[in-house]
Amino acid sequence: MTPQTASAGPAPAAAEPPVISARNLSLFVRDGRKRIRIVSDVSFDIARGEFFALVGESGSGKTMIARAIMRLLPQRMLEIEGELSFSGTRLTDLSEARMRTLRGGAISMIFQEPMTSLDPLMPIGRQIEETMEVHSDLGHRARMERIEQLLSDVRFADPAKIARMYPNELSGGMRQRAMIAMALANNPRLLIADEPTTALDVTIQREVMEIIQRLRERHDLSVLFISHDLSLVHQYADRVGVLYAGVLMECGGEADVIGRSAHPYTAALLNCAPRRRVNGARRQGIPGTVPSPLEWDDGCRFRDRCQFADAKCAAAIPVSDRAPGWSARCVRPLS
Amino acid sequence: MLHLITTRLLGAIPVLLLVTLAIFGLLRLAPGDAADLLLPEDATEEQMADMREAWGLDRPIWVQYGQFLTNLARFDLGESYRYRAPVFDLIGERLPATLELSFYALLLAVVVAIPLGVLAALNKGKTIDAAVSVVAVSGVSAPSFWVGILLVLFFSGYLHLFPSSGQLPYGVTVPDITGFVTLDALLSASWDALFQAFRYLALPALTLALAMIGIISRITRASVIDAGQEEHVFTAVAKGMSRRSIVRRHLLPNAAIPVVTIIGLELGALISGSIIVEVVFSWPGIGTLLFQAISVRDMPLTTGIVATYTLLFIVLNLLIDIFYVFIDPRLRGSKA
Amino acid sequence: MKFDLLNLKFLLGALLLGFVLFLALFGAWLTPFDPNRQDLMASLLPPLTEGHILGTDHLGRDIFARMISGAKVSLAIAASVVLISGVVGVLVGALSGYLRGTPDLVTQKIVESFWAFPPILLAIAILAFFGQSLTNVILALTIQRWIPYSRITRAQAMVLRSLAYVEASKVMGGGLAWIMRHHILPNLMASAIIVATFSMATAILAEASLSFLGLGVPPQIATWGGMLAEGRSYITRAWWIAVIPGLGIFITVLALNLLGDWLRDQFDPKKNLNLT
Repeated sequence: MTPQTASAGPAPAAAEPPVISARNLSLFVRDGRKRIRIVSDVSFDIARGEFFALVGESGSGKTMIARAIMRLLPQRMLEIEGELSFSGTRLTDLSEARMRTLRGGAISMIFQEPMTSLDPLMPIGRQIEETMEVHSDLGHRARMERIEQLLSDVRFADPAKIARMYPNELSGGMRQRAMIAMALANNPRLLIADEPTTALDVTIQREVMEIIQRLRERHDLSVLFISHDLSLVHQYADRVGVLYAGVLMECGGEADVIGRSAHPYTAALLNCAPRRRVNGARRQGIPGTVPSPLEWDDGCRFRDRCQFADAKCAAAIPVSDRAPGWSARCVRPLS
Repeated sequence: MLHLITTRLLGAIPVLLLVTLAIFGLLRLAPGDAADLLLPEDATEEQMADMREAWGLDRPIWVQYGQFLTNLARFDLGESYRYRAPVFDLIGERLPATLELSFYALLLAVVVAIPLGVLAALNKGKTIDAAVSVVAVSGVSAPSFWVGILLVLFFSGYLHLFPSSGQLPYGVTVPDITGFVTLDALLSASWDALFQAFRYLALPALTLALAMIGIISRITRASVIDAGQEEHVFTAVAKGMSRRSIVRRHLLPNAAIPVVTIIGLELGALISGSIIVEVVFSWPGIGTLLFQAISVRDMPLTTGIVATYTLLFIVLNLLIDIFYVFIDPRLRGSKA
Repeated sequence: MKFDLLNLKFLLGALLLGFVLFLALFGAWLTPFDPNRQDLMASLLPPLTEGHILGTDHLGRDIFARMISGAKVSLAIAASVVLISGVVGVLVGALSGYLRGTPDLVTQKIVESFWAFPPILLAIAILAFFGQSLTNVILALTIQRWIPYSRITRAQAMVLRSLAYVEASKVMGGGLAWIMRHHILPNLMASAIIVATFSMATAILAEASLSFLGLGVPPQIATWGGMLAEGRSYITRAWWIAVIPGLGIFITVLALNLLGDWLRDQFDPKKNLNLT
């Protein structure tokens, strides 16, 4: 397999490691005694300043990858096998104390449910201040000033007032913006956004995405955007990875993956997307259901629902390159 | 916020009225009245009629209720049949002892139960968790009068470490500043009296605390576990906070709210439990007074004490309700 | 519905409760002594003397026989109280929740007023004012106990009421009674049984407390609480008179609490690890 780097534009200055580099990454969860594989042999890169979208249905493993990067769950609950590096440093080698310096600092995360992701008993400003207390040496005054700056960056008209308010006094969209402000407090290298707009109204979604985009451009921030909303992916992503049943089915530039699609699953997904019609054809769901981790085998996990499947699909499928920077795990890729 | 407080206060009024009606109803519906109880068996009809008139028992029922209410408002609870003294005064004399016992019992219960509950939650599934569970379920299942007697048997009868009844030893007195013996002893620097006062408090307070310890520790454990599974804890981890900070700043405050609820609910058990514990330990509070009043069928005194306990309960619950408004922002807010 | 029967709580609880039930039902045949027969020559005998398994009290009455009598009283009263309060509570709750409006408002205020009294106090007051009798004891213990049932039923009824309007055409003229039987009660069963189990535990404690205070059933009948009260004065000379009845109460209530806990665990939707 060849490492994936940005497919468009001139190659970046040599030897700068990608912000995120995953090689043969597998994840296991523990349910009592049982060790269940939920992500199989995934490899991808995220370059500096890149907006990388990880797309898939629920059950595909995308949220677990995010949690693995942050090591949000202890090893006994979420086991990481394979290589997972942040700017050249292997995340699995780091001690918990070192991980803590990364969390909220160089890597930060925003979550899907702004309603429950903020502590209801603490004012917004204080919650932002907490992450600054961990990662910076600024005094209280300096911190408060920065908090107001951050809140105004996410387009709050009266940042001082918002800082004093409690989460229940804000709407969903406002809470999500506050979370973004909090996530950017320590100038992270990578922002992981786990379905940040799923729980929001369509109009608010735009606003939040625009804020993320603008801040990303300003701070040269990499974004790992996890979603199942293909229209947002189409609008904002530089590169896309398509995950199905724990396997990275396709990975490449947005124009290639979304525009042209090498993998039958990606094509099928696009057919289902509310705003996307292929040749004016009507929306279709994909017949069948996603196999559970207990049913997985070595062959292509999509073969039961794929219209192009044949006998070759029952064996292990290697990754094949369609073009530099664009690959698919399929023995019968679409042309 | 003021609006919320006034709403709660106003909401308590119909309840108070209905409660007074219930108490009045009990009093009037009960067979036998002052005339029956106070006059000898061979009293004449005329004597009974006179007695009834003196006590106002011959007026129409709603007039009597009105009189009852106005008396209540003026803190006039009538006169005890037995002691021939105003009920209000009799209760006033002994109420501080009850409050003092209840206070120390609650304090003991909270100080023991909350750390136990947190300990059990943070060590979920391990031996210490099971041990706390055993203590909790036993505390809740053991009748307080039995526990009290066992404690007396062991610590008093066997070890002679603690006394089995009363509030202070014979001959030891404390100046009556507030009415609360421990406080008065402290204020007047009577260290020996203070020490004795605690010695006498030990067994009754422990007995009363035991059942509460059971419930409070269980709820604390459950609520700490629940709080740990909330989404915002993940957010805190994602911010790079240490486990200790997260527990201290995000977990425990959120877990505290159900615990405050349960303490509020336990106040009722505290009040009714104190009656029994006072009787077991001959504690000079309104519980023993109630017991004595009932045994001589002293209606006014019984009613007065029942009303006092109920009023206490209602007021305490109201205070806890109002307290909530201060600690939980979600009860105040509206969207910006 | 799969029940975990190998659970310690269940086994211990069922064992203890079974033991108490067995004694209550069949214990009378296990002892030659009459619970009320006094024999002053044989007073204050420690357990295991002269055929008295648990000893005798200050009047020479056999304690084992009295324990059995007490078991019958406690269990019978507690069971009746729970049954009556359950029926009343469910009916009131269903009506209140279904009818909404003024009847509901008034009922709720009444509920709040009943609830405003500290637990045992109302029972004490009723028995103090109206005298001691079996009926009064049951009344006194039921008077607040029906409220939790009415609360859960009312909540159910309110949810179903809005459904009922939507499904009005499908409910073939059944109305409230039909809805109660087919919708409210089935959903309620689990919660109601759990409430009932714990309620029985508190009812036994409450009855024993009342008997201890001398306010329970008439004193001729042997009750655990009453035995404890009598045994107090002899605590240093003959500890068994007071300690054994207390132990009986403890075991019974413990068994019920364990079973209640176990039931609650069984019906608790288990949380699954979110795999993605």
